[in-house]
Parts: sequence; C-alpha cells; structure tokens
Amino acid sequence: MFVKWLLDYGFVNMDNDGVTFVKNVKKDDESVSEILLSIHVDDGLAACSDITMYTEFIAAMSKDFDLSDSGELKWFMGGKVEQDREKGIVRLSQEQYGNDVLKTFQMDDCTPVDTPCEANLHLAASDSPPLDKRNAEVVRNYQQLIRACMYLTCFSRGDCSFAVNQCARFMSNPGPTHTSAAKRILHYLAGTRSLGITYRRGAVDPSLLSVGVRTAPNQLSASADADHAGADGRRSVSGWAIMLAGAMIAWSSKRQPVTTISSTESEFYSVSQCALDCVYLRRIMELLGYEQMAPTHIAQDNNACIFLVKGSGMYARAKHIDTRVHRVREFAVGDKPEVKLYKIAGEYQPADIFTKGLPRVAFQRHRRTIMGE
Amino acid sequence: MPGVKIRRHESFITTGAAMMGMFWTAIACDEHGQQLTGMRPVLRSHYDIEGRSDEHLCVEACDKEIKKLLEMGTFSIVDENDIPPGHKCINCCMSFKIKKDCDGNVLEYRACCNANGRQQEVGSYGDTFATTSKFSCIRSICAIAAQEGLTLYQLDVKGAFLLAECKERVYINLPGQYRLPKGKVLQCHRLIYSLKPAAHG
Repeated sequence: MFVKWLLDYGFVNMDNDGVTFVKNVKKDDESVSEILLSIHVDDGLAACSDITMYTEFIAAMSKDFDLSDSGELKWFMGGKVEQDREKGIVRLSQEQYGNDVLKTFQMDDCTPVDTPCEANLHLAASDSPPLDKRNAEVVRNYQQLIRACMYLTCFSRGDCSFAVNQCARFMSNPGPTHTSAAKRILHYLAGTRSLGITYRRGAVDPSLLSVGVRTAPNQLSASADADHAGADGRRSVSGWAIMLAGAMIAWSSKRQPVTTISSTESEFYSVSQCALDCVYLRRIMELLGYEQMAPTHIAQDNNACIFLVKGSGMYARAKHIDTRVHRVREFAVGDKPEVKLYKIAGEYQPADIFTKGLPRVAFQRHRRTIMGE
Repeated sequence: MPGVKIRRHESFITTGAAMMGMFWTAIACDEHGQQLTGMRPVLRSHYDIEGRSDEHLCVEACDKEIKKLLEMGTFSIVDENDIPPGHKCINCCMSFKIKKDCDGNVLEYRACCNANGRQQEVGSYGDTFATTSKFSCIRSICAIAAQEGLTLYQLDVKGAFLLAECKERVYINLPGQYRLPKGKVLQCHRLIYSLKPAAHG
C-alpha cells in the first residue's frame, strides 16, 4: 500500500523489490534534484539535496499517512548517523548498541584488547563437547552473544566480521575455546565502542592510490582476498570489501563452499564472489543516477589469479573449476568489462582483515583503510 | 467502535498463550540502563509486567494500543457461531517495548498486539516477506550523501503494519486482560503484528 503510493507519486522502484526508490525532477535551470529513499518495514531513510522538494514530498505524504517526526537522520535501525554537509562527512556507528550488548553479557568493565581475535585464530569442531554433555544454558548464552555481535558486524562494525564468522560456525555446540574466542570479541568491542564507518567527500581508496590509479568521484572499488585451507576441513576463507567514498559499503567473510586445491583457485573463488556483488552494486549506483564510467577495480595479491581471470595461463590445474566461478571472466573481458583486477602487494591488501586473524599492526592498518577512520 | 464496549479487567487473568513478538527485540532496561529481565531480552506478555514498578505505564500503553486499533477500524465484532467452517479463531497477546533515545533515556512505553501467526493454517495466506532494505543499499546512499552533500532524513510511518488491509478471513481473541461479551470474537479487517502476511503490507 505504501509502495503503491510512492509509485503513484512518481518514484521509480529499483530492482522491483519494493525497497529502494528514486525520484528525479528536472528544474528550470537544467539541474536535476532527486530524492533517494530506502524503506525498512516502517522506517525510511531519504537523501535529498533540495529542501523544498523534500518538504513538498513530506507534505503530500502526511496527507495519506500518519508520519511521526521526520527531521534529519540521527538514528537508523539502532545505529547512529552523524552528518556534516559542509565537510562532506557521513558517519555510521553503533556505540549505544555496543554498550547494551556489553551490559547484557556483564562485560561492561572488561579489559580492552586491540584485535577481535588472536593472530592466526583457528577454531576447530574438535573442541566442541560431546553431544550428550552439551549444556543448554551455555549454548543459549553463546547463541545470544553471537546474534548480538552479528548485528553489529553487518551494520557498521565490519572489522570484527572475521572473528564473528569464525565463532558463528559453532552455534549448535560451542566448546570452551569457542566461548573464549567469542568473549574476546566483547573485549575488543569494549575498547573500540565509538568506532564506525566514515564516508568522506573526495576520499579515494588508498590501495588504488598505491598503484597510481585515479578515479572519478562516486566510482566503486573493491578488494578480494582468500586464506587457502585456513578453515576447518581444509576449506579456504574468502573475504572481500567494496569501497565507496573512502570506506567500505559492502563486505563479506565466509568459508568457501568447496575445497580448493591451490591458493590461486581459492583467490579465484573469492574474486568471483566479489565480482558478483560489484556488478550488483554497479547496477544500484547506475539506477541511483551515478554512472560507473570505468570497470570496477578489484585489488588482488595473487598474480596467477589475475592471469586466470584474464583468461590465460595455468589451464591444467584450473580446468576443474566450476563454471559458475568462471562467470567472473565474462565480467572482466569483452567490449564493456565490468571489473578489472590489479596487483597489490600482500601487506597492503585490505581484504586480508576478513580472511584471517591478524596481528595488531596489520589489523589496525587495514581497519583504517576500510573504515575510513 | 460505536455501540460495543470492550472491558479490561483490573487484575490480570491468566489466559491466552504467551508468544514471541517477532519485531520487538529491544533489550528491556529500566531508566538507569539496568537490565530487568535477566537474559531474556523482551517483555513478552502481560505475565512479564506483573509486579513491575512501572506496571501502570505498561497497562496504559496497552490501552492506548487497543484504542488505536479500534479507532482505525481494525476489528469488528462477530458471533462465534458465524465463523465459517475451516477457519479458526487465533489467540493474541501484548508485548512491550521501552523506547529509548540514543543516550538511553526512556522516551515512551509501547505495547503491541501480536497475533499467534502459528495458529494460522498454511494456504490461508499469501506473500509473507517484509520489505527490508539491504544494508549495502543503505550504506551506498550514505556514501553518496557524503560525496554529493545531500541531507539525510528519516521517515517513520506510524502503524505502517496496521495500515494494510487483511485480505483473508482472520478471527482473533483479545489477550487475557480484555474481555468481549460471551460468544463473540473479533474479525480482523486490517493486519496486526505477527499475522503471517503482516510484514508484507
């Protein structure tokens, strides 16, 4: 019903998913003003440059709906949004939610640590207690803790996503090592409560700068990495981040669904997952009216993988790779390539933070890059 | 609703199933930020508010919610015997949320009427998904706003759930502390929380 009203008012629904809308109006002086709108059940987030256009929209809407206060955005879905139009800064953080989590689990006054997990953390299923010795209370608390952290991770605290993902694999039967790993996340949160993602006008992806590539504003860039055989059962962990305006807008840390036989193959897997999301976000950006002029650059530290995506080299040991993964090749070659891989030194690969437990110095360096802080 | 009087008993009567309010997952804390309910994050039913120091505020919120639903024409009263065969009368309960601002100060008490959607039979309802936005879309809008100097606003449609019309026949009993005349039940004309298709509205 709400969606239908928006469409009647002249909004265009992107994706036909009934969630993100955009309305453009050409003014007399040829400049375009627009409203971007994203709905979350009964909450909405709108971005608009033109105050008169927005006031008209709100006036029209309050005729048909009961709108409560609709001022500037300060608080969205449990996260805090700070904006500074003059400097061109938007910041997302979840300090209050983090405090609530720490209070709930009675870790309010714990000792802070610098990283969310130990360096080279490897949690194994062999640490879980036997099924008949499972303590329901422990399991429930563990699940509640991970659920609380999961929400932090997917909204503004991507820096703990590797640690949370590791712990979340043992939701059904956590052992002592898993519980202490989960607690370590809280120790880390206690020391970094106010951390958030900061988007800045004119900020560029530092990894792109390091190879001397300059991009126009509103262009996406990405980086993808993998830790070969780093997870349980010799699976690899893939991690990637997609950046815009100096910080990441999408990220993932996941165990790969198949076992790969070489580091190149595991990198190839993570690049392909990253490329699929890049293409999706490119569509979103184009629908929002910000055309992507050049292919999206993906940082990659494995040369063989870059050759493989270009369609040359190492055929004998790569011919078994699933066709699905080869989709990334189609994105990378042709007349209008959507993604482009470039080589970056391993220690400057920000996506490293999503694939393994890093020591403090490297962790903080990558965190600065991806969070824009 | 004209001509019909719904009465609330002053003491809580222990009927009605306690269910989870799916969309009410805030951590219940008192005004000092102390958690009240142990590990349970939500005040889920009228059993939970019994004996609390702020019980009267919760009850007040309950009344306000029921009044709002009635004013919106959500329900009409029908006879129990008029329910067509194949339709069940489902239970509902109230859940509570203490709304706080970003510094943890109490803003208001809210109550929400939840139907037990699990009692609805499969096939008696249509689409059930909620229009939730993707975090990556929200963040890209934020990033664009930073780059282009757009202002971010928030929209909050009050009772967005309760606006949608209920296309199916749904009959409910009000929670324990509210009583209808004997032999009468309510028919829903608009969706309420926790009915299966509610979030799609």
